[in-house]
Amino acid sequence: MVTDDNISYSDYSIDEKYTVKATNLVKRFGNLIAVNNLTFKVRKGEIFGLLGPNGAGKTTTVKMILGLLEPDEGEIKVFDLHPEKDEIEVKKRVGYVSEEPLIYRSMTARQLFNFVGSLRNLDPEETSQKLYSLLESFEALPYYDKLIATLSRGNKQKMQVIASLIHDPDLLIMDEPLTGLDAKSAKVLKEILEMHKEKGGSVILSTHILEIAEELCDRIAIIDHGRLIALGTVEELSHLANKVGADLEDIFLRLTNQDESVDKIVEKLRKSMKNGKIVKK
Amino acid sequence: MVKLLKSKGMKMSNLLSLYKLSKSVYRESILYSQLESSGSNYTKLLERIGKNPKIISSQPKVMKFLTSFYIIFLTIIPVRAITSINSILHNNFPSHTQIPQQWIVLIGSILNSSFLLLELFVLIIFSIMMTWGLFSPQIYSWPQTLPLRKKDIEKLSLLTFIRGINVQLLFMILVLPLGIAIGIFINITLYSPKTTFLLIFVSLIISIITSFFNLGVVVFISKKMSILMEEKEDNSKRSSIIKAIITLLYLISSMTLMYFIQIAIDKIPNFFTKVLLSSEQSLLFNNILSFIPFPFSGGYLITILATNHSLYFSPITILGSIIGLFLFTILTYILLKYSVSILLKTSRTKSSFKKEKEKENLQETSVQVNVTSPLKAFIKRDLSIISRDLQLIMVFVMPIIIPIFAIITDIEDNVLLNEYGLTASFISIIFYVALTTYMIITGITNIESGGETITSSIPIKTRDQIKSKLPYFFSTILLAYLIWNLFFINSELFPKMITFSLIYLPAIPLAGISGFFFKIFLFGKLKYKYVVEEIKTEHRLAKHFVSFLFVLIVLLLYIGLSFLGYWALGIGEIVYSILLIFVFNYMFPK
Repeated sequence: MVTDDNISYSDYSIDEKYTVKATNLVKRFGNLIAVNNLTFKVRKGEIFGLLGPNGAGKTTTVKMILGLLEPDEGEIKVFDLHPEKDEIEVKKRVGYVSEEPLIYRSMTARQLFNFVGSLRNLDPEETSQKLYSLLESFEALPYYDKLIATLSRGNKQKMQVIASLIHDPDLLIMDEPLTGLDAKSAKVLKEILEMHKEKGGSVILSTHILEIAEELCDRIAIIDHGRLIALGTVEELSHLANKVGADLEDIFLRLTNQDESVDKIVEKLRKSMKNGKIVKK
Repeated sequence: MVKLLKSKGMKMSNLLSLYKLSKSVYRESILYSQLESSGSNYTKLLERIGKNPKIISSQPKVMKFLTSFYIIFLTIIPVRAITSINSILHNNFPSHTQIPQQWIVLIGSILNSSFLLLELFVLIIFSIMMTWGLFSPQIYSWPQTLPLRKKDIEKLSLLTFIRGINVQLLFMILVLPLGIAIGIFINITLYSPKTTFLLIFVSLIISIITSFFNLGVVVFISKKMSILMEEKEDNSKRSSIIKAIITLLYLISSMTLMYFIQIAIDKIPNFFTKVLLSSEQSLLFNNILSFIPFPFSGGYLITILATNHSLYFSPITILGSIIGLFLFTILTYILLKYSVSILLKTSRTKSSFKKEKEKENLQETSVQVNVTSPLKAFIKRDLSIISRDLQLIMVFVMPIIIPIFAIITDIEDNVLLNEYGLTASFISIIFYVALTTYMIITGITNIESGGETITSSIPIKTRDQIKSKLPYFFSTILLAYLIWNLFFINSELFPKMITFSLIYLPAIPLAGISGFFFKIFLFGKLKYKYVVEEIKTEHRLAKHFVSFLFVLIVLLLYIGLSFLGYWALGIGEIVYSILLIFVFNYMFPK
């Protein structure tokens, strides 16, 4: 059981095999506490959702897992390794998709994958086959020789998703991976995540799209203002929010204390609108 | 914007409202051109704008100020031309009997014409980078969704351009008549009130016509530039190189022009006294040139009116300048009409930026991942990025150009005539080398921040990153350091200069690499390692300044050591090299 602010969560034992273990993480940016005493674990073979409103601290947490940011307090372990100290070992086994596809705009996709393949020291033949199959699945083959700067948001996203998968990572960290993807590609990616999980791999899925989290995640951590509000399966969370049978959206709003404010906003909107037209004062 | 729409009851037909609306479109176009030309700085720029959105508007403000400043500065040319003529003719110094009158007319008119021409160049140099974004149809995609008529959107593109160039236009129109008024004031006794009025009035007319002509030229070039910058679909190396060459030529010509303007202004009186043509030859030139609409007819007309009380002008020259000005007016009208039609069409034009879907890839794509060593992969990536990034290309070209300009200035000012001048000039070169070395350091570290998503999840060794950058880092700084020696190949100073350069040669890469390490130490120190990217961004400016100082101090220390004797310099270089190897292994372990 993990507790934070007297809220109880999941029921796995401390000795269970895990991929990521974060203990009492704190990260400050000046006066702002982006992550506040965050504790959670990600098991092998699970899709772990990081849910929270904008600015909740999800991306900061993800960056600490990757070793891109140092926690001010607390400890983080990935595959029982220290992501900053053993950065190379950790990154060899991790695939990462960021919220914004910050990939080299002045390179073609071909050059990008050559670069990634070289730095990951991948087998050329095996990687080429895998890359072809991924490009084909995401219908991205026509863009293989295009400059990344010329690609649409969705196609850039496909390229960074593919770049995160070609080395067969044990842990996938995906920050809003479905942004910009068309329905077909989104479905393909969801299937890939399921397959990854079935093979025993772990996924950390950071999102604020609740339907996706509900559909894909085995367990969900709800973060708000850098604090862990709740952690568990959708069912566990519904109990915690006293909203049994409710969908994740209602649970989320209740747990983040946003349900009342949403009601007020809706009420205010109703008053200011009449017959679908904005009423002027 | 919404307030504006509301206040106009969703009707935006009058020009004033559209002009107000153009503020947002202008801002959008500036942001667009800043981002499109930012290259490897794209992410950093977005980050900076996020922190301080004022950055978007500060750049055009600076450019407007610079253009206005240079236009005012250029007025010195006609003012000095007129006062020099008056000084030659009325103070008889140097004896004007030795200078043919037609030569004075020729030089005076060429100087006045050069003012009109340089005004255009200054406008192009400082405005194009800010105006080409206005010609991208993308910036009108949002106004098109607003309840605006098509004609209003067309007018909007015209007004947005005027907003972008309003201050410059005002200065261009007013500066010449004001300059002429100052010129008259200096020699007030020579001009009757009638001549004064006529001269100022005619210069105002010339100024207005020239300003609108310049405007037309800027529209034309901006449009071409916009097409060039947007052509990303063609990602071949050839197209990248063409873009790079054009930008390079643009920057080099800008720098050269600014440099020569300053030299020329200092030497205006000398142009009159160094007579190169006879009176007959000069007259022939005057008669021909005065017919050329731009920039000569205006230049001749100003000279005629400013000096007709004391100089003889042939009737052909007078007639030529009047006909030339008339033709210039017609030419300006045609150009302006064409420019307005370009501007009106801008919002309607489809972007040349073709979406990838438009072009079907019918051929089978061969997917083959080529794996090389990390070192080679980094070099390939860096070269690929640099070859397509104009800002980065400039980072590597400017260090070579800047010392050349410095040495030309010294040659021009006769600084290099003695041992003392030679040493002073060499130290100034060292200063420029320090400055440009730091420019390169910043440029190559910027490459790393361009692909954050990819690099943040890849097992990268900082050691490999650093090693991959050393070949082109060293070759550029050494080339920048040595190239100016070429100016002395045929000079008796050459053996001295080249010996000087070779003695200090090892100090250049040593200072450069230590500056590189020092920057990483300040910006990229993490708990367990150092990274090339700028992670610790607090006190950014101070850190950059300290890192630059570090390079400079190392270089100056070497020069100081050489005063003890070259043996001391040699020992210093060996000891420092060993120290740097130690630092390299400590900061970036295998």
